[in-house]
Amino acid sequence: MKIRITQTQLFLMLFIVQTGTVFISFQAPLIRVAGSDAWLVFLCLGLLFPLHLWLFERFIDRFIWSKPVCVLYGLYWYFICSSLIGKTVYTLNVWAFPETPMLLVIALMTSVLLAVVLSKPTTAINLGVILIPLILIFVLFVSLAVNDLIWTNLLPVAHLSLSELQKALQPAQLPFVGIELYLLFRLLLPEKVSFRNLAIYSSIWLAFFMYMLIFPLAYFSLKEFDLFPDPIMYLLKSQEVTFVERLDLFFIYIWLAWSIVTVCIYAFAVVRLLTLMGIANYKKHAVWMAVIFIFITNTMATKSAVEMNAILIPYLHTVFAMAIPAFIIISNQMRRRKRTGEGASG
Amino acid sequence: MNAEFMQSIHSYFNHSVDFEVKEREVAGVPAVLCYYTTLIDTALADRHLEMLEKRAMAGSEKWGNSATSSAEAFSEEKLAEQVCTGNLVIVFPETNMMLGIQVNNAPKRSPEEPKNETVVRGAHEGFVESITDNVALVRKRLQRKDLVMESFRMENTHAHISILYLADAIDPDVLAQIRQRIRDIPYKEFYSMGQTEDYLEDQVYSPFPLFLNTERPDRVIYSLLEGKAALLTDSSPTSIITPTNFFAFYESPDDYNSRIIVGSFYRMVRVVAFFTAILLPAFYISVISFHSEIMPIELAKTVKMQINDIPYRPLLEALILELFIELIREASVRLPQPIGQTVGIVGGIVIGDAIVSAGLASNLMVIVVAMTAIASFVIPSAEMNMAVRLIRFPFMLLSAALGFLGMVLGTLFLFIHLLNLSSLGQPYLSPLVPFDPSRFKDVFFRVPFYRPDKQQQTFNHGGKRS
Repeated sequence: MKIRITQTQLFLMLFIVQTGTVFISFQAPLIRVAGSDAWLVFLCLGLLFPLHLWLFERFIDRFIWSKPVCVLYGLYWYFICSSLIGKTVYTLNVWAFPETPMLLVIALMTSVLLAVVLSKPTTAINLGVILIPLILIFVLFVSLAVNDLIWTNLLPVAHLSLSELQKALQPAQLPFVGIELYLLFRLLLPEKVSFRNLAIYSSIWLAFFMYMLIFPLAYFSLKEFDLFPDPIMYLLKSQEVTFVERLDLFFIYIWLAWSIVTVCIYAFAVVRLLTLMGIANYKKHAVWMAVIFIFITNTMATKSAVEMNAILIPYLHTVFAMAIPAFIIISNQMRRRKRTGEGASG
Repeated sequence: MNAEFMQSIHSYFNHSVDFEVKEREVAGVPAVLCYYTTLIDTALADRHLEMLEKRAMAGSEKWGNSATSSAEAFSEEKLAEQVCTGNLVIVFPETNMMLGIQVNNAPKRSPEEPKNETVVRGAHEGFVESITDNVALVRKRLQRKDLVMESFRMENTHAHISILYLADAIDPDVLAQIRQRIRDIPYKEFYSMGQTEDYLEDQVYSPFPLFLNTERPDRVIYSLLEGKAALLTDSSPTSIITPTNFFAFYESPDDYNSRIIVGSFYRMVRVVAFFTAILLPAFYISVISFHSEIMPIELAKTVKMQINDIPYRPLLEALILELFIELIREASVRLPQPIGQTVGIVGGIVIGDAIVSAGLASNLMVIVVAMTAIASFVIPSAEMNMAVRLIRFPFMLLSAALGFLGMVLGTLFLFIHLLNLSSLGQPYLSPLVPFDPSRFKDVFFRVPFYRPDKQQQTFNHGGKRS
């Protein structure tokens, strides 16, 4: 059966993938480098986001999923899945669950991934729906801090040197990771996506991340970001409500669900690649990949691995979301021109 | 010759005592009357015979055919079919023809309000164990020519399954699927609607009901207007509505008989009840076992003081009480109503209090388990109620092992399972998944007037099958 999705489903998957896991932690490394300029740097980069998507949409037919490309992206997304689960388990161990064996937690999370990839494709496509009310709750509770914000923390701006700006661009890439999934999921969409719709999605994405960046920036002093790896969680921890003592604990589990769903969508993408490669019995492969995944991820759930991945992933993002698509699109464009030229002369 | 014929017929019906074979002249022709004395109204049969005689004497050409009788060629199979359904059959051995007359007098109930689907306001009629009566109850309310009934006869038992639908509203693919699945039913003996469900369902091993069972004609009508089909049988007052979605189990005819705000409020209460019934004991176990730091300090003190005196872990404490509640529920269902109520009171108040006094469970756990039980009983559908009651046990085990992490994983597995379910190939979680904003509000709100929407057909958002 040929899978078909709608634009809403496409953008929901993309939103979950791009926001999940990173939205609680991307602020700290960015603010450490860019200081009060962090929001301006991210805003400028974020404004380029619809252009990036539009380029993907414009040249979607030039991006051909050949076998080597499938393998390359499959490995990349497999690594992303592993690093995201590693980061999630590590954060969970710090915040909530210091005594549960990591391998068990990873195995349980992997079983969710496996359940999704062995299910109907529509399950992975629609799984993000469960997060819609949770996202709203998250945003609502972060908003409780509004009275404690010191808006002058956002100033001064535009004082970064060129080298500082270059350094800031690296952590600022993290919320963009996953954009390349557009190239794969777009294949499931029968109609073209208008620039207007791309701009609407980009605006929602940008508004969300700006919100998640500006609130901690205005809440904490710049020096505090050296201590907090996950500023949003600390912000929620400082909120006092009458009905519960530790609000942050609820949200760490909402974030956990968000992260697992994110990885499920990546896992679905990997399985799609297997089917694109013509592997008929992909379920058997998926089971083996899941078993290996548990052991690889176990090595990723350490402080050093999490920190290393945070540095590595923006570089990989540049390669897989920009360099490789640009190379494939341009080479296919040239090949097509050459063929058209040969056809015309012949 | 007739004596020999009568003997062979008698032996074909295994010499059943209530099977009668009589020789008689009908319209001047020698004939044999065959019927079950236990199934027909003999006085009515005599009146029919008199009428037929008169029509024959008056020289009517097709004197045997009327609204209640029809003639056809004789065969033993057809004779058995007619006699078993409660018809009087007149066989004319000389011409090898037979005449079936509907004089069925099988016992049946009058349409009373179903005991498990009571409403405060609205119609109090319910289905009975007769297709014709049930269809009449529907036709009485829905006087439309596109209300169609199709009937399928089961082998051997001659029991019928009927499909009721609105030709202008139903999806032809769904109708074709229902027909095909009924035709594919391999069994020969038929005694309950549950059997049919097993053969019609997409996923048999899910605890969630994939078809809505109802004994209420008004509920069937709402569903027919939404483009669904209702399946009826002679053996059961229960009608199966298909395809259906998860949220249909949380709707009650009362919603549309009450004020908009009141109806909407109770609909939301039912949705909250679903989560309460599944997650509350798990949440309590998680908090007590792993995350006591989330409790406000004042509450934490009280809870600690209470659970310090309990020798068992929260999971065991919860299982003891849950098992106890399940026993009371099962006993109340099986016993006659007045005794069932007494068991509920004795079990709930006396034994519940004794369990707390004996130090087997804390007061807080009793509150949690009681709230869970009440929340599950709020669900209007008995099948969904059972499913929810069952599902809370894995959640309790997961939370006892992993705390909130277990609850998150359990919720994800539950959602994945629900996403995989379909009712006759149509999405079970519609209109939540695929998300349809125009119909999503109906999940929580009772709209100002009843405006039926068609069942979601595909897993795409707002998609129609192309």
